[in-house]
Amino acid sequence: MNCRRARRSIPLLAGNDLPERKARQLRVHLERCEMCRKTLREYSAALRRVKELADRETAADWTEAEWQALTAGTTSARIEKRPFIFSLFEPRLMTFLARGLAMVVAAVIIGLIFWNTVLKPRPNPVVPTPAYVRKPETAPPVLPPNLQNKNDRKEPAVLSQERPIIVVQAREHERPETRPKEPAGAKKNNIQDVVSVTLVSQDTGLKVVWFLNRNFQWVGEEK
Amino acid sequence: MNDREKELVDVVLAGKTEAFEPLVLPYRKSLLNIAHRITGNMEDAKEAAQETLMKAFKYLKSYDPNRSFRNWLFGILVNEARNFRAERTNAPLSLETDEGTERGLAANGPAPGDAYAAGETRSRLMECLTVLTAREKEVFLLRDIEQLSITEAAEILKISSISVRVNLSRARKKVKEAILTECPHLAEDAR
Repeated sequence: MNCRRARRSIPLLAGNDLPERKARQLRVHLERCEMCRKTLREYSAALRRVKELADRETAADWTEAEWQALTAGTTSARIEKRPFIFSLFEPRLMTFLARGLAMVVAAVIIGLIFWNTVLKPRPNPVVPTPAYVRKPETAPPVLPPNLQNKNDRKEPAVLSQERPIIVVQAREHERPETRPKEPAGAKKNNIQDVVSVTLVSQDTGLKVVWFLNRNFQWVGEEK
Repeated sequence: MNDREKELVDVVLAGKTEAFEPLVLPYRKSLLNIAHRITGNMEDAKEAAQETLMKAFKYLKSYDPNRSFRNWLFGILVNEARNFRAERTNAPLSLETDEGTERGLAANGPAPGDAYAAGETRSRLMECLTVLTAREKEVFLLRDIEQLSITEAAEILKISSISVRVNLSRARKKVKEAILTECPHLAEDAR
């Protein structure tokens, strides 16, 4: 132990307030350090002086009349009784119960939040009807004669706007008449040039097939 | 807590309030002296001690018999004395007197000699303790003046033993320096 560390512990050693192990180490240092011994003597003398002074000055006391009046006044007060509910439970048990209750409340709140955000079944969101299903503002294109139906409808069908199911079938059309005529001598290729889109209304069961060319331009429909 | 104190507490709680006086009688002087040294004022000390006894009686039902009655009582006292000291420290200093003039204060204020005669001047010991902080003073009073152990002081002040040791070490250092520099009249024997 060096002098710097020793001087931090000397005030406590002067009043015998140092743990035994540290006190032993400090005494070893004091045996070979005159300066620290002098410091310890100063502390011990100061403490002794203060205690003497305190003993001499400890003269403050109640007069007998004051004391009697004080104790009489004190005991005239009512002893505070603990509420009945507290008498049923020990403080530790009450603390335990309060903590348990708080944990249950917290668990319920977290569960409600989790249910509302993750677990709660939700209705399918209303899908807005795409613009191309609605009635076109402009006049419909003139259908080829082979695609015009008996009712000679000139406007595409307006489907239920709630939940249309759209099935896109990317396939070459079966009917050869829908395919544009190939120029004579042209090499036959297998490139798909007609696409049909089938729309089925979930509410009415109405099924409409639209035909689109390779540029995705509407060319006709089939009901 | 000794058996006699335990017996007296039971008697008081059973309804015989006259047993309270012998229960607190051993601490009659200590209560007043500790309060006096914390508040620095005998009038406040008496009021703090009185409040302590009243609270001790009122809440005797909540006292834990496994603890020391003295430490429980001194714990209440330290809190009360702190409150009185804080009130005294925070009280606004007013120059208004009955006449509302400064001249009136000079005319009505006590002369220094009168104050000394009334015993309100600080004692030589308390002059030395003015260099300490509130916490250091409480620790020093309980350990070095009232001769309580470190553990008891920690229990009364509701702090750890380590904190008591740290504050005690600082307090002793300050008191030693104060005796040597600011209160040389006390150092005559110490040298």
